[in-house]
Amino acid sequence: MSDVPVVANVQALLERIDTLPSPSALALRLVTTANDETSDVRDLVAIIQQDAALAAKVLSLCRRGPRGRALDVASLDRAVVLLGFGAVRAAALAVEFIGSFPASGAMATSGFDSMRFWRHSVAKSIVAEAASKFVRGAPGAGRPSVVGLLHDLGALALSRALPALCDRCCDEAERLGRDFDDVVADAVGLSASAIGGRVAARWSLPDEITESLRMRGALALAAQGPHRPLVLLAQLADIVVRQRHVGGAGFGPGAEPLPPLFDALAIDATRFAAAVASLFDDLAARTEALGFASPPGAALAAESLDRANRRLGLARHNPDATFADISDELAAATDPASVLSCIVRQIGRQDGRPADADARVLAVSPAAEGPGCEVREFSRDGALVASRIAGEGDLDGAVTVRRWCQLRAPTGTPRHLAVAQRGATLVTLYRADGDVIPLTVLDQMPVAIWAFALGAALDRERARRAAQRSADAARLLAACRDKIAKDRALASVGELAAGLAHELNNPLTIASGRAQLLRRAATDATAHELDEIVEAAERASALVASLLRIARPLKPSCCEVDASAIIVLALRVLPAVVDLNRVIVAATLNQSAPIACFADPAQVAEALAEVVQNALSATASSRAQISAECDARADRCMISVRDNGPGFSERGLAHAVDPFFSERSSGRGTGLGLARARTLVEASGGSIELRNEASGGATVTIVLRRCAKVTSGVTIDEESTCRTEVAPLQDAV
Amino acid sequence: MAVDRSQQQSERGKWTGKQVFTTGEAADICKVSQQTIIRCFDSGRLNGFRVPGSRFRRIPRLELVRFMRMNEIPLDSLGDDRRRILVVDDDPQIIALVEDCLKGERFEVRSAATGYDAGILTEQFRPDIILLDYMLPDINGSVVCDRIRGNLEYTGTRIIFVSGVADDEEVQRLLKSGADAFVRKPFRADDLLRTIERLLET
Repeated sequence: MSDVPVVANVQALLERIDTLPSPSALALRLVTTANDETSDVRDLVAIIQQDAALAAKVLSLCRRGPRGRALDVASLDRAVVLLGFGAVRAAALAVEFIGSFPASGAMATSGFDSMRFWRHSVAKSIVAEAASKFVRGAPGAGRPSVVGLLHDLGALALSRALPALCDRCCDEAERLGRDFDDVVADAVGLSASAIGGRVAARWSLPDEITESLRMRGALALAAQGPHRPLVLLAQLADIVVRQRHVGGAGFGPGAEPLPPLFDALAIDATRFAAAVASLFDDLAARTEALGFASPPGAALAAESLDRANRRLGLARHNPDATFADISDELAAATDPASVLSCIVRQIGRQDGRPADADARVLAVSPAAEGPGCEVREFSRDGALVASRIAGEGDLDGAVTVRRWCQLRAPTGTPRHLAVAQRGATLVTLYRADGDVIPLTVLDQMPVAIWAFALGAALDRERARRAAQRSADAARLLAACRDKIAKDRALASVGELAAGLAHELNNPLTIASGRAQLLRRAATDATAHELDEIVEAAERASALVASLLRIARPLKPSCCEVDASAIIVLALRVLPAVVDLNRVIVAATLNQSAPIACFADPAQVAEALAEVVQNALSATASSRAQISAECDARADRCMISVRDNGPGFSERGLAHAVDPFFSERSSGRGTGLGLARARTLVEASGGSIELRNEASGGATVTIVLRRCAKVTSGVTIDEESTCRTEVAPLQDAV
Repeated sequence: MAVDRSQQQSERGKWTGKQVFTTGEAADICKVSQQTIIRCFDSGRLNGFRVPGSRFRRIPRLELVRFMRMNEIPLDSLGDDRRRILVVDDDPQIIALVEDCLKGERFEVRSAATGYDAGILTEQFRPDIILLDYMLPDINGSVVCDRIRGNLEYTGTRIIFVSGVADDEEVQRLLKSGADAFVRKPFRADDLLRTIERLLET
């Protein structure tokens, strides 16, 4: 992370590279010796022998070389005689340079892998050397080998100067199948070969090396001057080694063709192919001699094959999906879920394989409040899996969003493959295990479309939710207002009733009491009339009392009770007030399958009795059917009373449970029955619902909270259940 | 035996209805010497008054009953088996009604219209039963009830709330405050009488 500000400035990058420590003096001397045609064999041997370890390694290297195996190389002097001045020098140079930039012990799973890098460079050295044999008048003395070895000095320097950046560039190149050189150029504005050229000049390496580093790729054929053969040989070696997939990320085959190079160097392609046929075995021997463990040649070949296959898989993408197709498909998707699954589908198509079932989409947008950004992770079906706020300064205007994702992704977070910008909304995809879903097409356009579509869908979703919330709140507010108004009305009824109870009961007492005293001495004829006075006074008093009970109900003592038990309790109360022959119980009062609800059994039974009474008073001949059922889904139990009367009027449906509301002609009932039932049921946390049946009649339902089991001791005795019937109401009437 | 009992009854009936007693009569009733009665009168332990224009001592019936009770002298010889009932209600018509309901030989009824009067009369009249309304002009019936229950002298006094209070929880609260029964207005005269009889028996 810390190297990024440097990257933003090429000048700073160059400074960092220029301050890299140069290789050992010994290595530089070896290089200069290589350049000096007049160098004596003795000088070379003297230089190498200054370092005993170097001498041993060089000797070992020479013994393992293609010719060294056949000849008996006993000493450095003999090696120089037998193998040639150039081969020994190249071997020494390789040992020394690799020593300066050692290969790490283990293969890296991502980022810059120095082991693979050196394998790649050594392979180039071998190929360049082999190719030079076919070139008439080719520069000898191991010079092609040295040029091949140092051909990727730029990458090496970058890995030293800016290791984190180098790692990310490698990953990017690997994911996209792009050339490392190009990725570096995109990221820092300077290609790896340009960096290499600069380093070579700085270290005063021979001109031929500097030249071959600068004239890489397509430029190679344009090289002129005395170093042209070496430049071409290095380029040839580069292409051959890349085509064989030897090396790490970003060093796969490029677009440059081989034939022009064969032509330019006048090499017979068939003979050349035969010469490099044993490349993997030679490479295995050479790398092992250089001091790091190497798999056998067959294993190297298999690894290269594996890489080649993977590249093929990457390259098998389907470029048919045009942007129009992409946007058309996305236009049909309106909510985030369908947009996301659409994106995943499209990426799957681009990738040439079915979309991952566990794919994740990561959307990054500026945090709603404060600095930083919000990172939301969606599953493939659009469900929000996780959401977090990334730290302050993670998004920085100076760096483009894409580069932020490439370079600033903190260690441990998924690397971003598909990244786009819409406002600052980014989209990236990776699997649940953290692996990114590889994409071959990283064109900004489709990714931008995805990000745009997702951003728009999220906006729509937000707006929809806000509207929904607002509507819900308005509904709730209206319901609360309604409830408050009703509660207030009820409270004033309570006040009124409490006052009335006192003020009204005294005169009623006097009327009733005097009538009773008169009756003691009255004749039979007047006794009846006096009784009527007494009863009327008591009725008036009872009315006030029930009004008070509606407004101020007793506190319920709720328990987990069987709805059937409540019905049985009601049936015990009912005979006093109604003709039970008009009541049908269509519920199976069965203790083995109770309908468990949470309520005050006595109060709800009282309420049920009121409801039944109300149902029976609809008409003189109406009948009531009681049933109980359980709605497990809505977590509620219902006791319903259905009658075959005329049903409620529209006004009745709205006001039947209000005190003193009655649709019956005056003088029948007090209009308090359902109001009282409602108060009692609401005290138990339930509610009363009214509806008219399509087939005629009305149903009043007492809705109670459901519970898991029955714990109350209210029991159903046999006598009470004997009236249980299951006859349909219509048939019974 | 039968003769004895009738003699006893007539003896008891001798003082029935008499409201003021001389010291001699009081000594006879209390089965003590007249001197004792005079001494108690003069020391203020037995209250009464002197006949205007003379020095004759006179003792009102209620005061004599109080004196006898305080000194644990059986009331039998006073021949007064009428039970005393105090009706407390601010509505004179209610008081009149209750008085008419309880009319007869068996009860002696006094009434008070305020909590204050109820307190004074309880001390003077020593009622067996208090019929107490809840809503009084000065203090609530429950306060009256609390005060009476707080005085050990009146442990034998039964309190019946007679009220138009319709709130069930309020009724429970009244009963908890020390009342022995609750009769809701409007009441049946028979119910009221039954409740009074029941409490007098216990």
